[in-house]
Amino acid sequence: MRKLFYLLIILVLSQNCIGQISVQLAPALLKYSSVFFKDAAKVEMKFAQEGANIFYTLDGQLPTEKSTIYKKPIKINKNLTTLQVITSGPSFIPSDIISTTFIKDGLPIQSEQHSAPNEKYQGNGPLTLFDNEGGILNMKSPTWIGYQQDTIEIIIELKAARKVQSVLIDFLQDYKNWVFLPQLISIDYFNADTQKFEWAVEKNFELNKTMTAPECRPILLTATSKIVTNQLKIKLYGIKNLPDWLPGKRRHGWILFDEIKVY
Amino acid sequence: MQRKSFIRNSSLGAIGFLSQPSFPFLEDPLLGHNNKRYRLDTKWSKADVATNPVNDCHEMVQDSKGRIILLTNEVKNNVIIYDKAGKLLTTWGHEYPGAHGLTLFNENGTDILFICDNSRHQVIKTTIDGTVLLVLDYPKETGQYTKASEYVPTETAIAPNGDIYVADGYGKDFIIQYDAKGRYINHFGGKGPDAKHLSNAHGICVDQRDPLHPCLIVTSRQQNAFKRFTLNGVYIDTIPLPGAWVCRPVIKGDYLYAAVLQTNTLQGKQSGFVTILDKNLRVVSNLGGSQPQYVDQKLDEMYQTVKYFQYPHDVCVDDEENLYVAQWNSGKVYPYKLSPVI
Repeated sequence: MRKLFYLLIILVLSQNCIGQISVQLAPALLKYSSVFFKDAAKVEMKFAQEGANIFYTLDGQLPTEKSTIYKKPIKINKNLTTLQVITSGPSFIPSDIISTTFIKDGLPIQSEQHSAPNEKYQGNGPLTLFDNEGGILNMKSPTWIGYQQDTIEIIIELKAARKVQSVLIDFLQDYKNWVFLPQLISIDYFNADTQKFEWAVEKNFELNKTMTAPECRPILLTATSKIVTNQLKIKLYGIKNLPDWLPGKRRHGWILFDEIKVY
Repeated sequence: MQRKSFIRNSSLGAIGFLSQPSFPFLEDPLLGHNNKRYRLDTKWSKADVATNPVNDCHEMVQDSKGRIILLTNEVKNNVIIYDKAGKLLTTWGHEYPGAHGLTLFNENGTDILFICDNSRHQVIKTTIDGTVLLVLDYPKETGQYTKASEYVPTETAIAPNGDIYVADGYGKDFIIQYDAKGRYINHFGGKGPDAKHLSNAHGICVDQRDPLHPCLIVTSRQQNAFKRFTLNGVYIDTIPLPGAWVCRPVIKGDYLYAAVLQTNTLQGKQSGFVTILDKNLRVVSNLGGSQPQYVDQKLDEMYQTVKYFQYPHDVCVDDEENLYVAQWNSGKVYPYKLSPVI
């Protein structure tokens, strides 16, 4: 009789345990001044739900309850470090993973010139593309410069001729607001010997087939070898065929970016 | 929160979620903090989706008979009337494709409804069973509008003297004041950089908790704040609610309740919760949200912690202090009910 009673308890508890996994925790709140940093980025994480903890990784592994538990603000000083975070606690399904990539400053930039942006998205003044500010999902953030045209050109002048191999551009992707990556990014470097810009590297992009949540997309283009130069010309080509599954019919999508790094 | 209450709240409490409690210690989950904690019932509505579907459930009120009235932009039944147990009593309305704001006013002993329709660009005053009494078109008297499409009213509030305040929350963010007969009196707010300006003036209510100083509380949703104005439209102050896209303020007793559609950091990701402020306008409880914390009298950024809700859009508080939460764009779910836990 007593065995039967315990069995009944176990059965009821197991049924309820199936029920309990119906509710999921939300992600933690991440606080940092910018995803761009000069020496180190400080990241604070918050999750004011009693009994729950924050777990994170910095090495590209997916976070689990066995990952590092968050106790105090962390410092990130390695370039292109992706912080991945979950919350977990008894009685709930762990949260979805949220991730943010932190981007270290590049070679010193003397100046840059870019095609005239749309009046709504002028950026934050002449340093806007290398001021280490941005990475904000809200397209109304003044850190973004934005275009609604087919071709955009940016010329970057370094403080001195240096060996260069990679360029990083941080874009916003926000389909709901018609903000897309370019269809093609092409980069030329200035060859001091020929006194001409010459092709260095390029990259094509395809649209996702379905709506995705807004995200920052740091795009890194790496040439096959290092090139000595003091100037780069970046050309962005907008998407020609806009997706017909998005609400509304528009001729142009938006291209928004907030920072460029040269490595 | 004390350790003991935490165990009750989140650990053992959640074990019983979506299942019938079989032992005294197995309970439905408790939501909230301090003295404002609730038990959630997601199956409150007994309506049949085949015959009485909903689209966005935008707002809810309780009438003087104790019935719970839901406004949805589903034109098969724009208005669904329930009893408090969730039984569908009756429905009406097929002509409100943009049904959004629902306000109840007791006019000389008679329940009256005000509906804001986003698509029709109108405010419609009706009897409790749907007979149209008055239609307010776009407020060209203000000199701020040249066509109806610029005006997208989201909410009304009715002062004790019958004056009607309309929040143009998806249009130009003005608050337009009319007398009880719908004659234009004043307008204020609008978009701009100053404290008196509004950004997404999604909701409005009349706060009579201090009978000597009644005022208007207006939502400035994209600024994550409520703003207070005198009944004449003079700006008083701002109540910051960092991180929270608050919908309309709903006052019952000493407390102010508001659905938070989503949080700033997780826009477009079903990150809503419900917030409750005391009579000093301090947040005391977040249902499905972070425990409110003030540092040097400043409220910390708030955020969702448990995904009980997707996009809550309104809270109705009934005469027994139960809450009903209507949700926008959340899989066409019926409203949820939350019962207070003493």
